[in-house]
Amino acid sequence: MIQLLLILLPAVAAVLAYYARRETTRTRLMWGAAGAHLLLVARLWTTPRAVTLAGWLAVDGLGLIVLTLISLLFIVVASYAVGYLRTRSARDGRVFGSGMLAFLAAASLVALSHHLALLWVGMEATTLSMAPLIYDRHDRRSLEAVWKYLVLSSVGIALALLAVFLLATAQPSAPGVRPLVLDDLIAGAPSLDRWWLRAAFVFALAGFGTKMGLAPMHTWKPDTYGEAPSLVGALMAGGVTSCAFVGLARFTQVLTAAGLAGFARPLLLGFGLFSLVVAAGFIVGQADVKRLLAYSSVEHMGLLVLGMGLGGLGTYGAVLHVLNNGLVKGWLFLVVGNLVLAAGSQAAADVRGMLRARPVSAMLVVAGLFAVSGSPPFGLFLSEFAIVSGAIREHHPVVAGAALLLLAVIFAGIARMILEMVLGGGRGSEASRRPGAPSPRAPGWSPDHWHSPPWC
Amino acid sequence: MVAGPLALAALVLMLGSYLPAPLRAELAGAAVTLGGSAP
Repeated sequence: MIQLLLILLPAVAAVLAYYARRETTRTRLMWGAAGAHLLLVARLWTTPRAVTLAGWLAVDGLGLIVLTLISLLFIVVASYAVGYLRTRSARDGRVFGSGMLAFLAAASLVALSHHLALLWVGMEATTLSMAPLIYDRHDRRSLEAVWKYLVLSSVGIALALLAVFLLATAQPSAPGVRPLVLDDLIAGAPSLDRWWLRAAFVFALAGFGTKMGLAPMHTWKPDTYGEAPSLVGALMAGGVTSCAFVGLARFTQVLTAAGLAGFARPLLLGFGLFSLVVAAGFIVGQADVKRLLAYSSVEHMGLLVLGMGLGGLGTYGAVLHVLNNGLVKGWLFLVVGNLVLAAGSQAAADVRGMLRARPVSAMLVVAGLFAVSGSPPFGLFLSEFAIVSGAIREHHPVVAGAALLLLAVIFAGIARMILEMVLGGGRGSEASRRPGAPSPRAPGWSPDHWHSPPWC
Repeated sequence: MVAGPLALAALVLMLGSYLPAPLRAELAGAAVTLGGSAP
């Protein structure tokens, strides 16, 4: 019952928010749904596990962790969105508010779904619910970004659907066996067709990997994160990618149960390391702060699949990293949104001297730099340490060494930009601003353009 | 506008020094189902 409520409550709130005429009603709906969702998730931690809809919805460790992450992230983003929605026209506010709530319902469906076709439906719904939020600015660049996002995500999600079909083909039909239900797939794993199962995993890796933003399927991320409002970036980098990881993890669970971990792990390791390489290459010398965060997301998705591909302690680190990465991405996107708002531009050259202009946000972004780089005492240190330790314990010293080297390069690249933003003197020149972007003083330029007190 | 990022920062900081027992149990369970192990 709780599981159904976790999906239906935000879904109903999304419909009501769309038809609500007053902004205060939409705000109350968002707050109410976010608060109730968090309370229901807390209740799940304390109640015995139950299955709903004949095993189609169930709670397990990974699902509960991702659900908790999404609920925490959503309530923070909802509080941030209150000011944002005040600046929108009535229609835009309706679309934005209902899109956010629809995302919460879809992400909850992904986290709770133990039926892989239902999980796919939830994943597709997260894609669609995010599209109007990305296009919120209604200009040429955001239109281009949303099209790129929709086209590439649709290709990815189509590959994931093919993976679901292949998995269904691999599962022999027998009395009492529920097709595509995770528990039955795992229980009957030895009888699954090995060839179809391998093919399903390859398509799942490509499909859900595209949604995660693993390199080389990451090309939608920089444009989308760069053009979307910061709070949407927070939901995407912390929520959508975590949901896609759940999809990939479900297929990995089935392969592991079928004794095919040896097939999956080299693929996961390869994509993980390649994502780290691509992220390092693009972070060094990056000129746009939101694009920097997009490549940081590529890096962390790489770490997730790397940890899952290592097995042993690395997998534990990967699961912990889902939680840490989601929270830190929310933190960084929101605080960078404050700085972009203050500077009127997201080009790094224009965001300067923020320690004086916005001291609290500046200190938060510096702390975020150390957190996202996996420095102690932040949670990402523990999860990244577990992943690297897992590589050494599982006899992959080259992987451990390469990952550490790439993480060091990435830290240097992020530190250069963040420290210049916080401590650098003077504003950048007009020429350094993005071509085609209006003056930073022009009202309505920034996706985060609403009045804010100077202390933030 | 700073309260939200501050709350997330506090959570990430907490997860660096203390993992509640139920969370540790769920992490271990999830890792094992994915073919990994708990520390």
